[in-house]
Amino acid sequence: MYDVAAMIDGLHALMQINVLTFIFLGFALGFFVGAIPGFNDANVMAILLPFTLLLEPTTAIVSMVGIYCGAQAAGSIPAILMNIPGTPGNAATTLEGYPMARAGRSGFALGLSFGASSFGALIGACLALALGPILGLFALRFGPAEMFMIAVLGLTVVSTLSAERFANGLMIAGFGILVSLIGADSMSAFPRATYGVPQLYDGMPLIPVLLGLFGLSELILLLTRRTIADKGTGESTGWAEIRAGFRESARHKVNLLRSSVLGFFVGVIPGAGSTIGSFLAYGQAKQWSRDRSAFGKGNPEGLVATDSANNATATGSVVPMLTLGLPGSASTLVMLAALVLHGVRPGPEFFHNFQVDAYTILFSMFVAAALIASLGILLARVAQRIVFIPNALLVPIVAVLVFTGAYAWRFMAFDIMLMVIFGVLGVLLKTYRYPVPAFMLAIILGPLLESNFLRATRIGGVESLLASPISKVVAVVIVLSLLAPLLQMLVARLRTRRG
Amino acid sequence: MHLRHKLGELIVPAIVLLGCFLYWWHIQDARAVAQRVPNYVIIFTVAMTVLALVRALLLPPAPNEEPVELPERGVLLRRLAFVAACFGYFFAFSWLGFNLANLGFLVLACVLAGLKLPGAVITALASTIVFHFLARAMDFRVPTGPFGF
Repeated sequence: MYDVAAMIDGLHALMQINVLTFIFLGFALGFFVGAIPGFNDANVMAILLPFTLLLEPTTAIVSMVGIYCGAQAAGSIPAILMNIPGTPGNAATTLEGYPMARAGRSGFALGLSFGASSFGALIGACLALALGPILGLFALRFGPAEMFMIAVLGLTVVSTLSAERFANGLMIAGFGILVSLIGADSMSAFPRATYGVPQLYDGMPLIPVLLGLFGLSELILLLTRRTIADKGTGESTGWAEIRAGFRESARHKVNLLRSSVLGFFVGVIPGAGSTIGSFLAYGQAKQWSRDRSAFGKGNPEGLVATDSANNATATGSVVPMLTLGLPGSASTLVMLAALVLHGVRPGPEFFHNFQVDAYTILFSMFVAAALIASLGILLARVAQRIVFIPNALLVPIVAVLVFTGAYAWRFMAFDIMLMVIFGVLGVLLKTYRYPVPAFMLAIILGPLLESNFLRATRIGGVESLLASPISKVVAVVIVLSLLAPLLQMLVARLRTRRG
Repeated sequence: MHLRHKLGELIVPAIVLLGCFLYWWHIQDARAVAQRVPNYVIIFTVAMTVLALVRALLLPPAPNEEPVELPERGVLLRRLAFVAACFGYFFAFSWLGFNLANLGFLVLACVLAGLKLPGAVITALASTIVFHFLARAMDFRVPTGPFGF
């Protein structure tokens, strides 16, 4: 299964100066794009796709790996500094990163984020290298029932995000699923709840909704404040804070490892995506934490979990793309297209027919992890100054950036209006303390949930949902996830009584 | 609890219930397969909304629950004006084009955010030029206005 000679050849191919240069350029470009809310990596990769035909296949694909990893890591910059996720996978980063920035610890948060991101990418690359050929075969066993159970598992995270007001969290999650089901249904193509608006026929566009709920809503709330940061000064968040954050990330060893491994395996499941991975890791970190009440207020544990999982998911999602030809996201879809255009067809035989290319791609992820830790930290120093810019300048300019990002997703002016509507909804949800991430997660999971439920039950009825061993294991994890907060509360009460 | 707080607590559940009703109303003519999952979700969501409403209106707040902070009148008006400007941007974007919409919105938003008019005009002009070149560099097909830019 493992060919050492092919591994060495793959590593040798990667160490060519032109290949390394293109990874570096791709990473820098991805980093720049990821740091701008709304401009996602898939768009840039799609624009660059024709130009990659001028390159060798391996060089083309590793430069795309660079863009992909750079964008995933840099997406945490606006998430931490402005509460606007740079990529959908960074939505969970806002939960702890932004409160840290508002408390004047933006440098610490960025250092922590890049430390966790580089570790997550490194673990993801190690796992991809070790398990890639095996996982390709395992992923073939995931049918509709298993995917449905995975989607339900994702939604159980909702309960941990809104433990204090359980019904509110579930209400808003249900509404999120309903919003995600607007548009033509996959079975009969009936335009559900579109009310004659053709732009909604293909479903609810994710990027305008995301930018509205997280980005514009925050800008509306920031309008009347002087700066983003409540405390601190430009000097108090310098190199020392970034380095302290980077070092702090290394102290959460168990959390890093758990979140990275979880993120990687979520990434391996075709279609699951980094948003689910980072939210699941956040939920797990909260459930295992000794101080759950600190979550949502700038807890390093939560930020370490989301960012390590996000980057591990990004590397994990390359595995099904290579071994099954199944892209898990828009970015890996463009990567797949690039490989096919170069005459390299991914699939179960990929590791057999294109061994050297496969190992070159996998080793390039190690280079990307190193770039996150080095170049990312250097650029974070510049980026963190943003929290001290007066909102009178920042809010209007970022608002136009967000409008442009919403428009650029499908080049439809309608998406700007949609984003403003979701921005207003986001303000209401934040004001009355409803969990916005639960709403967003439900919107992402809704179509996955419905299509897999219908496919699974059409084949074997409702009982087929729990027929396979994988489904049963996931069901046990769901029950444990729901019971964990209750068990923790009981243990804490017992300890208090004994103490 | 103050009446304004109580009414405020009703806003989100009211939006959710209205959304559920509009969704349910629109799928009445759809095939059963298209209604199946949405109907389950609507029942679940309405049940949770009723629970949330009972908790908000009838039960006392939890001891560790912090009260909702509502904005002052002046802050609320500025936010509403900003939201109106955002909706205005959508119409201006389609009718006047990307550059003029940006210029108009930026001047208005800068003033609402606290800049004086001369500063707002200079900031808006400089930012509009930067966005113009950014859109060109990223090859975005942004609409142009009646004056050709």
